[in-house]
Amino acid sequence: MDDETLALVESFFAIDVRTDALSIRGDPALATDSAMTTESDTLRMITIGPTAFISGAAVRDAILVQLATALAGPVVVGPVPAVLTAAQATSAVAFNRSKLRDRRSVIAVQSLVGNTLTGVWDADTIQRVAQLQTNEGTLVVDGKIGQQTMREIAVQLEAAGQRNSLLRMIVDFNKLDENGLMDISFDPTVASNAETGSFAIPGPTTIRVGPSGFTQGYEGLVHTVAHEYEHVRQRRIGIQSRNIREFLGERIEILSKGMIEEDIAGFADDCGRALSHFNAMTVAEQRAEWGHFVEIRTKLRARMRAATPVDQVIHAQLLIDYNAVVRP
Amino acid sequence: MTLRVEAELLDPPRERRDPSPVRVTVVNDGPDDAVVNARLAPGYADSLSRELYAELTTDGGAPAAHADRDYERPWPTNDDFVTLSPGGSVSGEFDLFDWYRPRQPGAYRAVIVYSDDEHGPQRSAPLALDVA
Repeated sequence: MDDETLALVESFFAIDVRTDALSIRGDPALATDSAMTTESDTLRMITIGPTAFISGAAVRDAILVQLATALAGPVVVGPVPAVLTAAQATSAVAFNRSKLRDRRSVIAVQSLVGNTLTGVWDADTIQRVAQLQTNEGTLVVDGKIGQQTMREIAVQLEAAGQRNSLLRMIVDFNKLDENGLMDISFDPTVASNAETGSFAIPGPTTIRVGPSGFTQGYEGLVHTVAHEYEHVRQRRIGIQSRNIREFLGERIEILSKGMIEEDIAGFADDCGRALSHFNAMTVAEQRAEWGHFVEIRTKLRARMRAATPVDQVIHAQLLIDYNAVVRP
Repeated sequence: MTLRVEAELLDPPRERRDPSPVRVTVVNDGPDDAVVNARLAPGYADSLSRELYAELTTDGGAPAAHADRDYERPWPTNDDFVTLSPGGSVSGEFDLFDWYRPRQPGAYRAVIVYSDDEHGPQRSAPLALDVA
C-alpha cells in the first residue's frame, strides 16, 4: 500500500527516481520521515517512514530531502592502467554501451573499479575493467562486459555487499521489462529467494529479493530476478491464477532466453516446480497452458540428452514425470 | 494423532499498513509422536512450499479481498521436520498483513492454518482484527 502511494507521489510530482536512486520504499519500522543508505558510493536506497504518509506533499518532501543530500564519489582515483590500446578501448566503450545503458549500472562499475563516477562509459573506465579482467586471471581481457565479466562483477559486488547495485545491473544487462514495476530492492528480512507483491491484480508491483536469492549464485540470482519480473508482467495484465503465474515464472527460467543458463540442478528444480504448478491447475488452465508446457518439456528433453550420464540418472524421474503428462 | 494450532496476535494493528505479527504454535495433542514441519513458512492455500496460510474473512464470514504476493522459496529440507512427543510443540512468527493486507478498512477474522503433506489442514481459532 505504501509502495503504491510512493509510486503515485513520484509520478504526480515528476520526481526523478532513476538517476541516483536504486530504491525508494516504505519502512513501517522507521522512526523518522525518511532515511537513506548508499551503495557504489552515490547510489541511494531511500526508505520512507509512517510519519511521512500524512499527505502527498509530506511524502514528496521526505523523498526530496534524501535526493538532495550531497554525496561524494571516491576521494582518491588511482592512475589509469594501460591494459588496452586506444582502439580496443573505443570498441569496448561501444560494446558496453549496448549492454549496460542505465547510468546507475555504469556508476556501479565505476565505483567497483575505482574511477570517477560519471555514469558514462569512457576509455578510463574501460581500462579499469580490463585491469579487473586481468586480475581475475581467466577472463578475456578486452574491457567488454559480456556474460563472464558480468558474472565476475556480480561476485565482487555481492562480496562487497552492494546487492542493490547488483540487482540494477542484472535488470539492465538482461534488458528486463520494468513496465509495472514500482521498486526492486534487497531486503534482508525476506526469507524466500524473492517475493513479488501488489495491492491488487491487475496492478503495479514491488519485488524484494532476500539473502537466499544471492547465496544461490549468480546464475540462480539472474533467473530469480527474471522470474520475478515475469510476475510483474503477469500482475500488470491481470493473471489471477497463482498456478499459472508460477508456472510461467518457471518457464522464463527454464527457457532462459537471452540469459545465462543455470546448472542442471537449478534447471531441474525449476522444471519440478513448473510441473507441480501445472498439475495443480484446473483442466481449463492446463488446456490454455498446454503450448507452454510442451515448450518446457522439449527444453527438458534437450538438456537431459546433453547431460552427463550421472545427471541423467539423478534426474531420470523428472523426465519420466514429464513424459507421463498427456494433453488434457 | 491430533495436532492443535494456536495463533496469537502479538501486536494488533490499527491501520492496514501496520505490522501484524502473529505467533503460531503447533501442538501435538495426540497420544503418539507426530512429525511436523517446523519451518512454519507462510503462503497461501494454493501456493507451494509453505506450511502456514490464513483464511481471511470479513466479520460477516465472506472471503476478504487482500493484497498478496508471489514468492520463490526453497523446498523444506529434512532438518525442517521434527518429531513432537505428546504435548510437544513448535512455534513461529510471521506478519499477517505482510501476506494478507486487506484492501479495505474494516473488521476481519483470520484463521491460521497449518498444513503439510501428512496432515490435513489444521485450523486455529479465529483472530479478530479491526483496522482503519
